[in-house]
Amino acid sequence: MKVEVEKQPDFVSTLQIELPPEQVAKEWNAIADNFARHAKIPGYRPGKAPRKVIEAKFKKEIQEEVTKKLVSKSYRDAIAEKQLRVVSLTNLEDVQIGDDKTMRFRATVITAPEFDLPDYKNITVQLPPLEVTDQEIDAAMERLREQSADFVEIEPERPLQMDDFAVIDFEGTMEGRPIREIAPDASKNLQGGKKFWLHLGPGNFLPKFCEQLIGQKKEETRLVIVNFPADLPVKELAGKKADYAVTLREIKQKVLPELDDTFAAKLAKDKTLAELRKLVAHDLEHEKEHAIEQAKESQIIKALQEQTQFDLPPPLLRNETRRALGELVQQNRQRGVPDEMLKSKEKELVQGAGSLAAHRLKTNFILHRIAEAEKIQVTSEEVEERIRKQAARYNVSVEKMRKEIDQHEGINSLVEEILLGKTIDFLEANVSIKTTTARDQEGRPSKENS
Amino acid sequence: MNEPFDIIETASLTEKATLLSEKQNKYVFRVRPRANKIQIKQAIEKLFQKKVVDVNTCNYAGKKKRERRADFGRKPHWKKAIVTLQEGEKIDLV
Repeated sequence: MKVEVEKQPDFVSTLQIELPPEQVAKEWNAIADNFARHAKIPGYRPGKAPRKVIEAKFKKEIQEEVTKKLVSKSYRDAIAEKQLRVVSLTNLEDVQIGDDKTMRFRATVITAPEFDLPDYKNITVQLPPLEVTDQEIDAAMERLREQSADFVEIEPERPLQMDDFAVIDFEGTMEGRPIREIAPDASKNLQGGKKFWLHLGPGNFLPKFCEQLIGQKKEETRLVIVNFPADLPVKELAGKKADYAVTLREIKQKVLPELDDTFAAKLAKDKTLAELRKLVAHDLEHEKEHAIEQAKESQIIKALQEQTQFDLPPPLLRNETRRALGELVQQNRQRGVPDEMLKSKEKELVQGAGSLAAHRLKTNFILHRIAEAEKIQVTSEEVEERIRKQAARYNVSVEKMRKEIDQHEGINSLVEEILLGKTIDFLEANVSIKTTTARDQEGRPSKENS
Repeated sequence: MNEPFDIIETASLTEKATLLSEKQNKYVFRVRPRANKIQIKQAIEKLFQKKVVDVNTCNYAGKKKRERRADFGRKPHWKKAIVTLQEGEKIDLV
């Protein structure tokens, strides 16, 4: 097999591959025999037609088959022979089978960028301590209290104060016309509302709105004047003065439940306060472990990214950008961002997707190289394991899961995922950690301080 | 009407013809029914530039075919010629 590699800019390489006649002829004969066995040709009983007739009649088909069989195989051999780091194959073209049964074709591939691996062992990462402090537990408990707070009407009646919760009906007007008419597209809360809950506090809701309500009595109607800032997104209202007729319906106060066993029992069945505390502490520890894991990963990747510099192949970047953009749009849609808004922010989205794609690609390249250097490989058992896990998660049978994976992204991407995960695990096992709380290499939290 | 292509209609590519050509150096053609052996010999010699030793012919009556409208009709009558070439000569028909 003869292989000529021609390097082109932008990480594109063209491989000119030529296969010797023997190899092609062997394949050709095998396929032609196969055809001869079943071909129906007028004048001959099936399977009795001579080779020449078959070859004349099915030349195209045989060629196709031979190409299919040999091209992908020889392409892989060629890459192995030239030791190219191929990222993706863009094109296979110009397949020719000569009369002397030599086969030539050209493959255009994108190669991975060449770069020197930084020292990836003992990357220094800074992690927050794992231990859960009493203050944190207290804060969490306080949050729980806040969540189960009750809103009670104030007894006896008194005028509105700061920090109260006011339930108001209000209606905005500007120069005598309701805001509803002036800016129909604006948020409902700018136009007016009924039974609107407002937590009185400096700067809450509209500018100087709460301050003007202080001292208002129940069922009293007041006129509140609001000066909209000039940079308000609603153009019709920006920089203008609006009047709000506000009627106070109710004054409520937030009452936090007592921290005692009844409170605990309400949140978690039949638990005392001490047990609840333990539960919270446990959750917090879990959360922290998770956060530390993530911090570790992101810091490792950040360090790797900073220490390596190389350009990315533009075609790949384009592909990845497109994918990232699709994901971003999808995410935003799920969050309920309307399409018009997405369109108006198209530029930012594309930019964001671009940098995201570059980041991902770069990480991928680096991790792949490390995996190569460390001989990290994925076994078939691991793939099986992963498929089983996924099947369990989505609650489908293993067989079905395998089929799904085959259909959607193929087993290869799964393998890659596992490989990258393993590489990250490897890196995580080989970091030097700077924290107030030491964790030993097995990832087991230890209590003594370093 | 004595041009070779007027006389030789087509080569017969069948199992029987293949066997004959492989084993006995005989080649089978469909020819114009009115052509005689001499014409066939000359036509083959001119067409393929090979030496012809012998020509055997046989006439075939066209098969009867019933048409939907006409009462009956038939496929054209045809003639088959088995041409023996001189030893060592070969025609590649495929």
